[in-house]
Amino acid sequence: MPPADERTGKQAAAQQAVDILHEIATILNCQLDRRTLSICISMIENGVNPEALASAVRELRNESVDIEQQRLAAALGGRKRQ
Amino acid sequence: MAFLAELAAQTDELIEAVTHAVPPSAPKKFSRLHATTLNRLRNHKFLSTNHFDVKKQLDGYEERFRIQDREALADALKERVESVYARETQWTPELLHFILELADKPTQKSRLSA
Repeated sequence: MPPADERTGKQAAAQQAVDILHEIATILNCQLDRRTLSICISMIENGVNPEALASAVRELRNESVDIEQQRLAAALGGRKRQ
Repeated sequence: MAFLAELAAQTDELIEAVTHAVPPSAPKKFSRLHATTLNRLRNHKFLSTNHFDVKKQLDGYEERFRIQDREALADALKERVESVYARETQWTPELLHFILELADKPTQKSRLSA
């Protein structure tokens, strides 16, 4: 197999693996989109502990709620001042 | 050193993907999140993944779906888990462990159409 074809084949296999993992994550109601899951897969393949990563994602989700609330409060404050 | 640089870059991507916070719009907030997340990933007391436990948990979810008469979900999960193990790599148990850690009451909340 020529190198370019080999690379494309490997990419397709990796893509398929991400697809299957994403489907499992959806069945288990993990609330993970494809992009986040791909990033997490790369991090785990680089040696990050899966439990530590899950705890970091949970913490970031909490932060995300705070950020959204702050954004809403700022938007409402701006509208009141007008 | 290369590992740390890569981990730092991936941490930024993760923060953006999960919180939708972008560095230029909230530089202070972003750098605080970056530091705490990186610290959480590097300094932890979690054990390494128990491969047998991961398989047991997945089998447990499949069984619970069947007990609740949700055969389609049980079959869908079984099929995909078998498919993942068929193309098993060095990191397969860790990846499944991560997904299991974030599972949120699937027997109550999961829908096939989701």
